[in-house]
Amino acid sequence: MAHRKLAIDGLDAENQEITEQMQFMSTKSNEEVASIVDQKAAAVRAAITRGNSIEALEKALADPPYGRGLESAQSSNAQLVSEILMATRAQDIASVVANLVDEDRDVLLKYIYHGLARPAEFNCGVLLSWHERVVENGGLGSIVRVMSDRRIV
Amino acid sequence: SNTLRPYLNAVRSTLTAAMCLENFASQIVEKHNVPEIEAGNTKEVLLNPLVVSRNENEQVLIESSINSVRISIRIKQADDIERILAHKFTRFLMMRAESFIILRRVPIKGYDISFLVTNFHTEQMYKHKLVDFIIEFMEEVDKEISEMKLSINARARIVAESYLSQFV
Repeated sequence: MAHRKLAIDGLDAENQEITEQMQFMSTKSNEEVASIVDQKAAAVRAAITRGNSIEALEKALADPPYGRGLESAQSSNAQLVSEILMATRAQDIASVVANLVDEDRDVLLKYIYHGLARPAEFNCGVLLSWHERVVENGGLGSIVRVMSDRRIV
Repeated sequence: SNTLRPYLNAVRSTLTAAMCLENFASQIVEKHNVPEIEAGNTKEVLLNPLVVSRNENEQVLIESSINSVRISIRIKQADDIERILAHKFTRFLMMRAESFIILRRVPIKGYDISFLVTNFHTEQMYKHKLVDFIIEFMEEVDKEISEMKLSINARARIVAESYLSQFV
Protein backbone atom coordinates (compact mmCIF):
# COMPACT_ATOMS: atom_id res chain seq x y z
CA MET A 1 0.00 0.00 0.00
CA ALA A 2 2.92 2.33 -0.65
CA HIS A 3 0.84 4.53 -2.92
CA ARG A 4 -1.44 5.67 -0.10
CA LYS A 5 -0.53 9.25 0.83
CA LEU A 6 -2.85 9.70 3.84
CA ALA A 7 -1.93 8.06 7.16
CA ILE A 8 -5.54 7.19 7.91
CA ASP A 9 -4.87 5.89 11.43
CA GLY A 10 -3.57 9.28 12.47
CA LEU A 11 -6.84 10.92 11.42
CA ASP A 12 -9.02 8.37 13.17
CA ALA A 13 -10.94 10.13 15.96
CA GLU A 14 -10.88 7.09 18.28
CA ASN A 15 -7.08 7.02 18.37
CA GLN A 16 -6.99 10.67 19.39
CA GLU A 17 -9.35 9.83 22.26
CA ILE A 18 -7.04 7.11 23.56
CA THR A 19 -4.02 9.42 23.41
CA GLU A 20 -6.04 12.11 25.22
CA GLN A 21 -7.08 9.68 27.95
CA MET A 22 -3.48 8.66 28.54
CA GLN A 23 -2.48 12.24 29.37
CA PHE A 24 -2.24 13.19 33.01
CA MET A 25 -5.32 15.10 34.22
CA SER A 26 -4.57 17.47 37.04
CA THR A 27 -7.12 18.50 39.67
CA LYS A 28 -5.61 21.99 39.67
CA SER A 29 -5.86 24.52 36.88
CA ASN A 30 -2.81 25.55 34.88
CA GLU A 31 -2.55 28.94 36.62
CA GLU A 32 -2.68 27.34 40.07
CA VAL A 33 0.14 24.96 39.16
CA ALA A 34 2.25 27.81 37.75
CA SER A 35 1.75 29.89 40.90
CA ILE A 36 2.73 26.93 43.12
CA VAL A 37 6.03 26.70 41.24
CA ASP A 38 6.67 30.43 41.63
CA GLN A 39 5.94 30.35 45.36
CA LYS A 40 8.35 27.44 45.81
CA ALA A 41 11.17 29.34 44.11
CA ALA A 42 11.82 31.83 46.92
CA ALA A 43 11.85 29.17 49.68
CA VAL A 44 14.09 26.88 47.62
CA ARG A 45 16.63 29.61 46.82
CA ALA A 46 16.79 30.56 50.49
CA ALA A 47 17.57 26.94 51.40
CA ILE A 48 20.30 26.80 48.74
CA THR A 49 22.06 29.89 50.11
CA ARG A 50 21.92 28.35 53.59
CA GLY A 51 23.67 25.30 52.12
CA ASN A 52 20.83 22.92 52.99
CA SER A 53 20.54 20.91 49.76
CA ILE A 54 18.29 18.20 51.18
CA GLU A 55 15.62 20.64 52.30
CA ALA A 56 15.85 22.60 49.04
CA LEU A 57 15.53 19.42 46.99
CA GLU A 58 12.53 18.15 48.97
CA LYS A 59 10.73 21.48 48.49
CA ALA A 60 11.54 21.64 44.78
CA LEU A 61 10.56 18.02 44.07
CA ALA A 62 7.19 18.21 45.86
CA ASP A 63 4.14 18.76 43.59
CA PRO A 64 5.87 18.70 40.21
CA PRO A 65 3.94 20.56 37.48
CA TYR A 66 2.58 17.58 35.51
CA GLY A 67 0.17 18.15 32.64
CA ARG A 68 -0.10 19.76 29.23
CA GLY A 69 0.23 23.43 28.41
CA LEU A 70 2.56 23.94 31.38
CA GLU A 71 5.85 24.29 29.54
CA SER A 72 6.91 27.50 31.27
CA ALA A 73 6.11 26.15 34.75
CA GLN A 74 7.91 22.90 33.93
CA SER A 75 11.01 24.64 32.62
CA SER A 76 11.17 27.06 35.59
CA ASN A 77 10.82 24.14 38.02
CA ALA A 78 13.55 22.29 36.09
CA GLN A 79 15.83 25.35 36.34
CA LEU A 80 15.16 25.43 40.10
CA VAL A 81 16.14 21.78 40.49
CA SER A 82 19.24 22.27 38.36
CA GLU A 83 20.32 25.20 40.58
CA ILE A 84 20.17 22.90 43.60
CA LEU A 85 22.06 20.15 41.77
CA MET A 86 24.87 22.51 40.79
CA ALA A 87 25.08 24.07 44.26
CA THR A 88 25.67 20.73 46.00
CA ARG A 89 29.28 19.65 46.43
CA ALA A 90 30.41 16.43 44.76
CA GLN A 91 31.13 14.72 48.10
CA ASP A 92 27.64 15.45 49.38
CA ILE A 93 25.68 14.05 46.43
CA ALA A 94 25.58 10.48 47.78
CA SER A 95 24.27 11.52 51.20
CA VAL A 96 21.65 13.87 49.73
CA VAL A 97 20.35 11.10 47.46
CA ALA A 98 20.29 8.62 50.36
CA ASN A 99 18.07 11.01 52.35
CA LEU A 100 15.43 11.30 49.63
CA VAL A 101 12.12 9.46 49.76
CA ASP A 102 11.58 6.95 46.91
CA GLU A 103 8.97 9.13 45.18
CA ASP A 104 11.18 12.20 45.33
CA ARG A 105 14.13 10.21 44.00
CA ASP A 106 12.09 9.13 40.97
CA VAL A 107 11.00 12.72 40.33
CA LEU A 108 14.65 13.80 40.65
CA LEU A 109 15.61 11.22 38.00
CA LYS A 110 12.88 12.61 35.74
CA TYR A 111 14.41 16.07 36.12
CA ILE A 112 17.90 14.68 35.41
CA TYR A 113 16.69 13.20 32.12
CA HIS A 114 14.79 16.42 31.37
CA GLY A 115 18.06 18.31 31.74
CA LEU A 116 20.12 15.80 29.74
CA ALA A 117 17.69 16.21 26.85
CA ARG A 118 18.50 19.94 26.74
CA PRO A 119 22.31 20.12 26.83
CA ALA A 120 22.28 23.75 25.70
CA GLU A 121 20.51 24.92 28.88
CA PHE A 122 21.75 22.50 31.52
CA ASN A 123 25.19 21.37 32.72
CA CYS A 124 25.51 17.77 31.52
CA GLY A 125 28.60 16.95 33.59
CA VAL A 126 26.82 17.70 36.87
CA LEU A 127 23.67 15.90 35.72
CA LEU A 128 25.66 12.80 34.75
CA SER A 129 27.36 12.57 38.15
CA TRP A 130 23.97 12.92 39.89
CA HIS A 131 22.54 10.28 37.52
CA GLU A 132 25.25 7.83 38.63
CA ARG A 133 24.43 8.33 42.32
CA VAL A 134 20.65 8.19 41.89
CA VAL A 135 20.82 4.96 39.88
CA GLU A 136 23.24 3.51 42.44
CA ASN A 137 20.62 4.22 45.10
CA GLY A 138 17.44 3.46 43.17
CA GLY A 139 18.59 0.72 40.83
CA LEU A 140 17.45 0.10 37.27
CA GLY A 141 13.84 0.13 38.49
CA SER A 142 13.95 3.88 38.94
CA ILE A 143 14.97 4.29 35.27
CA VAL A 144 12.13 1.99 34.20
CA ARG A 145 9.70 4.06 36.25
CA VAL A 146 10.86 7.24 34.51
CA MET A 147 10.34 5.58 31.11
CA SER A 148 6.91 4.15 31.85
CA ASP A 149 5.36 7.02 33.83
CA ARG A 150 3.10 9.08 31.55
CA ARG A 151 3.44 12.08 33.86
CA ILE A 152 6.35 13.85 32.22
CA VAL A 153 8.54 16.11 34.38
CA SER B 1 37.62 14.30 29.28
CA ASN B 2 36.25 13.46 32.71
CA THR B 3 32.63 13.29 31.56
CA LEU B 4 33.29 10.27 29.34
CA ARG B 5 33.08 7.61 32.08
CA PRO B 6 29.87 8.99 33.67
CA TYR B 7 28.38 9.44 30.19
CA LEU B 8 29.05 5.82 29.17
CA ASN B 9 27.85 4.54 32.55
CA ALA B 10 24.62 6.52 32.22
CA VAL B 11 24.08 5.15 28.70
CA ARG B 12 24.82 1.64 29.93
CA SER B 13 22.34 1.77 32.81
CA THR B 14 19.62 3.43 30.71
CA LEU B 15 20.11 0.87 27.94
CA THR B 16 19.99 -2.08 30.33
CA ALA B 17 16.75 -0.72 31.77
CA ALA B 18 15.26 -0.07 28.30
CA MET B 19 16.12 -3.49 26.91
CA CYS B 20 13.44 -5.39 28.84
CA LEU B 21 11.57 -6.74 25.84
CA GLU B 22 8.92 -9.38 25.38
CA ASN B 23 7.03 -10.74 22.44
CA PHE B 24 3.99 -8.68 21.47
CA ALA B 25 1.79 -9.56 18.50
CA SER B 26 0.41 -6.65 16.50
CA GLN B 27 -2.97 -5.52 17.78
CA ILE B 28 -3.87 -4.06 14.41
CA VAL B 29 -3.23 -6.85 11.95
CA GLU B 30 -3.87 -10.49 12.78
CA LYS B 31 -0.87 -12.81 12.93
CA HIS B 32 1.57 -9.95 12.35
CA ASN B 33 4.47 -9.27 14.68
CA VAL B 34 6.00 -5.85 14.21
CA PRO B 35 8.56 -3.81 16.22
CA GLU B 36 6.17 -1.41 17.94
CA ILE B 37 8.67 1.44 18.17
CA GLU B 38 8.89 1.45 14.36
CA ALA B 39 5.17 1.10 13.68
CA GLY B 40 4.09 3.51 16.41
CA ASN B 41 0.38 2.74 15.99
CA THR B 42 -0.43 1.40 19.47
CA LYS B 43 0.30 4.30 21.77
CA GLU B 44 -0.08 2.35 24.99
CA VAL B 45 2.97 0.12 24.40
CA LEU B 46 5.38 2.99 23.74
CA LEU B 47 7.57 4.20 26.60
CA ASN B 48 8.92 7.73 27.06
CA PRO B 49 12.05 8.34 24.98
CA LEU B 50 15.13 9.21 27.01
CA VAL B 51 18.13 11.24 25.92
CA VAL B 52 21.56 10.93 27.52
CA SER B 53 23.96 13.62 26.42
CA ARG B 54 27.55 14.48 27.23
CA ASN B 55 27.39 17.90 25.57
CA GLU B 56 25.55 19.40 22.63
CA ASN B 57 27.49 17.37 20.05
CA GLU B 58 27.33 13.93 21.66
CA GLN B 59 23.95 12.45 22.43
CA VAL B 60 22.22 9.11 22.61
CA LEU B 61 18.45 8.84 22.10
CA ILE B 62 16.89 5.69 23.52
CA GLU B 63 13.29 5.04 22.47
CA SER B 64 11.77 1.91 23.93
CA SER B 65 8.55 -0.03 23.56
CA ILE B 66 7.24 -3.38 24.71
CA ASN B 67 9.06 -5.42 22.08
CA SER B 68 11.73 -3.17 20.59
CA VAL B 69 14.29 -0.49 21.40
CA ARG B 70 15.70 2.09 19.03
CA ILE B 71 19.08 3.53 19.96
CA SER B 72 20.30 6.56 17.98
CA ILE B 73 23.78 7.96 18.42
CA ARG B 74 25.07 11.39 17.47
CA ILE B 75 28.84 11.16 16.92
CA LYS B 76 31.12 14.04 17.86
CA GLN B 77 32.13 15.87 14.65
CA ALA B 78 34.30 18.89 15.30
CA ASP B 79 35.13 20.06 11.77
CA ASP B 80 34.36 19.41 8.11
CA ILE B 81 36.82 16.54 7.68
CA GLU B 82 35.38 14.71 10.70
CA ARG B 83 31.87 15.34 9.38
CA ILE B 84 32.75 13.74 6.02
CA LEU B 85 34.57 10.85 7.70
CA ALA B 86 31.70 10.17 10.11
CA HIS B 87 29.20 10.27 7.25
CA LYS B 88 31.20 7.88 5.09
CA PHE B 89 31.94 5.52 7.97
CA THR B 90 28.32 5.29 9.10
CA ARG B 91 27.17 4.91 5.50
CA PHE B 92 29.61 2.01 5.06
CA LEU B 93 28.17 0.29 8.12
CA MET B 94 24.53 1.00 7.30
CA MET B 95 24.80 -0.41 3.78
CA ARG B 96 25.87 -3.70 5.39
CA ALA B 97 23.14 -3.56 8.03
CA GLU B 98 21.97 -7.10 7.39
CA SER B 99 25.18 -8.69 8.60
CA PHE B 100 25.08 -6.39 11.62
CA ILE B 101 21.62 -7.72 12.56
CA ILE B 102 20.76 -4.94 15.00
CA LEU B 103 21.70 -1.98 12.80
CA ARG B 104 19.03 0.18 11.21
CA ARG B 105 19.52 1.07 7.52
CA VAL B 106 18.57 4.69 7.99
CA PRO B 107 19.46 6.83 11.02
CA ILE B 108 16.81 8.82 12.87
CA LYS B 109 16.70 12.50 11.87
CA GLY B 110 19.24 14.50 13.86
CA TYR B 111 21.44 11.48 14.60
CA ASP B 112 24.24 9.71 12.75
CA ILE B 113 23.50 6.03 13.28
CA SER B 114 20.60 4.01 14.70
CA PHE B 115 20.22 0.52 16.10
CA LEU B 116 16.99 -1.44 16.37
CA VAL B 117 16.93 -4.26 18.91
CA THR B 118 13.81 -6.43 19.05
CA ASN B 119 12.69 -9.12 21.47
CA PHE B 120 13.82 -11.79 18.99
CA HIS B 121 17.36 -10.41 19.18
CA THR B 122 17.33 -10.43 22.97
CA GLU B 123 16.05 -14.00 22.89
CA GLN B 124 18.91 -15.13 20.69
CA MET B 125 21.69 -12.96 22.06
CA TYR B 126 22.79 -12.01 25.59
CA LYS B 127 21.32 -8.67 26.67
CA HIS B 128 24.41 -7.62 28.60
CA LYS B 129 26.54 -8.41 25.54
CA LEU B 130 24.30 -6.28 23.33
CA VAL B 131 24.67 -3.38 25.74
CA ASP B 132 28.46 -3.98 25.86
CA PHE B 133 28.53 -3.90 22.08
CA ILE B 134 26.74 -0.56 21.85
CA ILE B 135 28.99 1.04 24.48
CA GLU B 136 32.11 -0.35 22.79
CA PHE B 137 30.82 0.93 19.46
CA MET B 138 30.45 4.42 20.89
CA GLU B 139 34.02 4.35 22.21
CA GLU B 140 35.52 2.81 19.07
CA VAL B 141 33.82 5.09 16.57
CA ASP B 142 35.45 8.17 18.06
CA LYS B 143 38.87 6.46 17.98
CA GLU B 144 38.38 5.29 14.40
CA ILE B 145 37.44 8.73 13.17
CA SER B 146 40.43 10.42 14.81
CA GLU B 147 42.71 7.67 13.43
CA MET B 148 41.32 8.19 9.92
CA LYS B 149 41.74 11.95 10.25
CA LEU B 150 45.39 11.55 11.30
CA SER B 151 46.12 9.23 8.39
CA ILE B 152 44.42 11.62 5.96
CA ASN B 153 46.55 14.49 7.19
CA ALA B 154 49.70 12.37 7.04
CA ARG B 155 48.98 11.24 3.48
CA ALA B 156 48.11 14.78 2.39
CA ARG B 157 51.42 16.02 3.83
CA ILE B 158 53.43 13.34 2.01
CA VAL B 159 51.64 14.00 -1.29
CA ALA B 160 52.04 17.77 -0.98
CA GLU B 161 55.75 17.42 -0.13
CA SER B 162 56.55 15.14 -3.04
CA TYR B 163 54.52 17.24 -5.47
CA LEU B 164 55.80 20.63 -4.42
CA SER B 165 59.42 19.46 -4.09
CA GLN B 166 59.71 19.48 -7.87
CA PHE B 167 59.19 23.25 -7.88
CA VAL B 168 61.88 23.96 -5.30
